[in-house]
Amino acid sequence: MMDLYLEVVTPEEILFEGFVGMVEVPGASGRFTVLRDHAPIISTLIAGRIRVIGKDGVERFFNCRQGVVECRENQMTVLMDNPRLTPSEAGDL
Amino acid sequence: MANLKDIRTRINSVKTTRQVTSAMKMVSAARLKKAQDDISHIRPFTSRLASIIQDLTSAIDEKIPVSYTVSGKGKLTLVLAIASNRGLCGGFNINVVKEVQSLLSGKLRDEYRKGNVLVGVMGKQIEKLFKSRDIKADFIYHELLFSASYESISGLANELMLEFKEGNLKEVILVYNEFVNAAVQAVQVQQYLPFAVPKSDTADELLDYILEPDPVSIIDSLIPKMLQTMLYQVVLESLASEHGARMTSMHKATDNASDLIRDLQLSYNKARQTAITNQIVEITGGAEALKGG
Repeated sequence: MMDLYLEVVTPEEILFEGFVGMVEVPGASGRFTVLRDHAPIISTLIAGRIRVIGKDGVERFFNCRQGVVECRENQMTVLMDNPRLTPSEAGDL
Repeated sequence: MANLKDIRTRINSVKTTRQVTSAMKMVSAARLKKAQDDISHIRPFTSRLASIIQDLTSAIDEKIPVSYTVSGKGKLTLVLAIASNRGLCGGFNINVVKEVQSLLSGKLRDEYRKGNVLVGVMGKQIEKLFKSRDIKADFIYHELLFSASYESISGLANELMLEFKEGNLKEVILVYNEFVNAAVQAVQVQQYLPFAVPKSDTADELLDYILEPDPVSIIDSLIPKMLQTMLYQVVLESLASEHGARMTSMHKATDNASDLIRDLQLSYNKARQTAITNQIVEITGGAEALKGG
């Protein structure tokens, strides 16, 4: 049985790659959660926080300004802009 | 035969040159490392983005227009040549110029004669080379090379997309050096606009994607993103190639200087020995003459 494999990639670096249990992303038409065997989906992302629970049980957060997510056959890719936020932006989240 | 002082001066001047070239080699090596890192960071992003676009275009209805993929309504073609602001990097600059020349006298010949081809130049060196070949540089983007940030390059990409969308440009062609490895650069001619959607070779496994918010707005946000990233990657490739080319040519220059110094040192020693022999001959000759008297 395949677990969900996630990659979080920005133009500057690969922020995260590995097997995960759950990913929650700020989709353009609302936040949604992706679990294993999710239907194929492509969605643009808006500003918000990406929440990832890895297979190791560790919870991670990534700040997203805009981006896109694709999930197919348990391969999930999050592409987003540079996550460095100005303090005021970080305060809003 | 050159006298001793002349040879000594030449040795010193070649040594100074060698110092300069070897320092430049070191600097290029350090910059190359950084540029290589930058490329290795952007490449995964570009390839992932391309594969998402590929999945997306194969999943959506063919009737939905994909922006920037059909030829523009304008009649102008822009050839954007990307090279260097600085010289001393072997054939790096001239190769780009030659490629543009062959484009203008080959594929784009008729359009160029009609004045429908514009040349954009990124790099002071190639601007000079174009000038000497009677090719007019219509747009100058030198300053983008000094601080090639994602923001500034996306700015140029947006500008090109706007001109394209408004119907001023028919197509945009990039000519640049692709980074193969530190010693090898390959000149590439790449069509930038209209955007060629990557074709999938696994057309059989079409998936029924959920598209949020809707296909059109995803395309409208992804294609410009892709075009920005592509241009940024091209500039990074060119920068890395430049440092690689300069490192190689400076390495050769340093080697040549070392060879030259060795040769000069040899003739210096020979000249010195001849001078000493001559002096001894004179002294002994003088002593013999005195003894005889």
